[in-house]
Amino acid sequence: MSVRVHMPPLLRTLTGGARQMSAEGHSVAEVMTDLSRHHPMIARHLFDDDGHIRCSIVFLHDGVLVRAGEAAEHPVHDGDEIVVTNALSGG
Amino acid sequence: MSVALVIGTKKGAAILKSADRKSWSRDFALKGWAVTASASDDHGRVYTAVMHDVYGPSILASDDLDNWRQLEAAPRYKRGEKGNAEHIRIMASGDFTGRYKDNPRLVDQIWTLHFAHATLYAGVSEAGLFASRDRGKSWEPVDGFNNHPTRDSWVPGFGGLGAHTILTDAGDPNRMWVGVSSSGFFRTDDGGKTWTQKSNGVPGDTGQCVHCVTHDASDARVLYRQEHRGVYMSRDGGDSWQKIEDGLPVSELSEGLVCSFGFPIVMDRRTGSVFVVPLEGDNFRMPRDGKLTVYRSHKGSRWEPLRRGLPDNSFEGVLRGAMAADQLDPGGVYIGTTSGAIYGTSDTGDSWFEIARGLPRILSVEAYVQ
Repeated sequence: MSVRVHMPPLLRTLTGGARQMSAEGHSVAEVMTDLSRHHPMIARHLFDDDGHIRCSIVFLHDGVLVRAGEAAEHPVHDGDEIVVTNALSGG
Repeated sequence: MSVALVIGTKKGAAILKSADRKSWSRDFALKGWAVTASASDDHGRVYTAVMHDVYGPSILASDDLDNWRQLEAAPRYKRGEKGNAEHIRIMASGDFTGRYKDNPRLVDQIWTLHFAHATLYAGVSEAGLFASRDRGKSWEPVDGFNNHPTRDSWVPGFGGLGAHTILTDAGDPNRMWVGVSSSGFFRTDDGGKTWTQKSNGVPGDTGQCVHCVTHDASDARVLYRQEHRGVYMSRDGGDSWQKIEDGLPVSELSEGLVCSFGFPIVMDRRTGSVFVVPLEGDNFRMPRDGKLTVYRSHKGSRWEPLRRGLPDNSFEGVLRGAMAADQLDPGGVYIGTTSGAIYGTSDTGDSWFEIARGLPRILSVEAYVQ
């Protein structure tokens, strides 16, 4: 399944400015793993030191909110879009 | 000869450049990342440590202070290592990410970077020391420090358990020092295999909390230490410490407990002048009467206040990493405040001028001569 991933502005500085990238997988988590394989600079920011998707990342999968803990079970399909966002409060 | 300041703030790095130390150009880089430390190597490459509450810590490098690239690797502990319980208790209290729920030992922030003897060092929290001998392509933990026999008894400060100071000896690559809040000041004489607490003469077995230490690496036996409870000097590489507070303002920490208090301490190596920014004790942590004042001592002699050009009505602090010296002749010293102002001197402290204001909270300041 080829999915288009939209990157937040903070991480674009690590992608040479790329706003969107393609990755493969059957779930949101698999897509993030594939993305990290091809773009290792991003990996440490998507996954924590224990290999889990960082808890405070929130995905929008075709407009549906998917939290990090749900990413492994949340299926994706060919041509879908995932927006990476961060759940962050404070000034 | 121009000076570039890398001002690490809570939300990016202000890059200030000047050919005369009077007029400064200003750029803002790494927007959105907290810039916690920076250092340069022997090629003039500048490294900055960044962190983000969601995306974690990382290190970037630049050869021109305009273009930054993330390094291939960053310090990290081995998976499955258990963290210091007190550090986790503090970090987890404000952790909305849940990453501490299994008590892991994480690199949650890079507090300091230091380059010496062809090695780039990183001091981190949870307190640890990492070394890179390939300019950041890979990192190795310094196990002798990270697994120190007293580690289980280490107690964090309010900001967590952080290794924030790294000093080296230009003449002896096997000797170096690391300061940890609030667990003391350690020295190795065998290239990092073993480390000994060096706080004899400072209150408590480890000091109450070492805030910052400075020295001249080419005369490394002489050290100056800003402690939670006063300023100290060592003439024997840290084996013993003597209080040097003559002329410094003191404040009451509690009933019957009076001493000076502050965070950063830096040295103008050419003259041997040492600079501190006293705050009104640990209860208030702001300049006394709102008068931001830097104090200068010549090689441990009586401290003198330096106020010319510094503001009144200044109720801001200066964090431990937010003061730097450019080591030019005459010496330039720069301080960044928690309210986002930068002040500097180009006459070794006799007079000061405002360089910038309106920045986010300033975490780190480094000066580079280009």
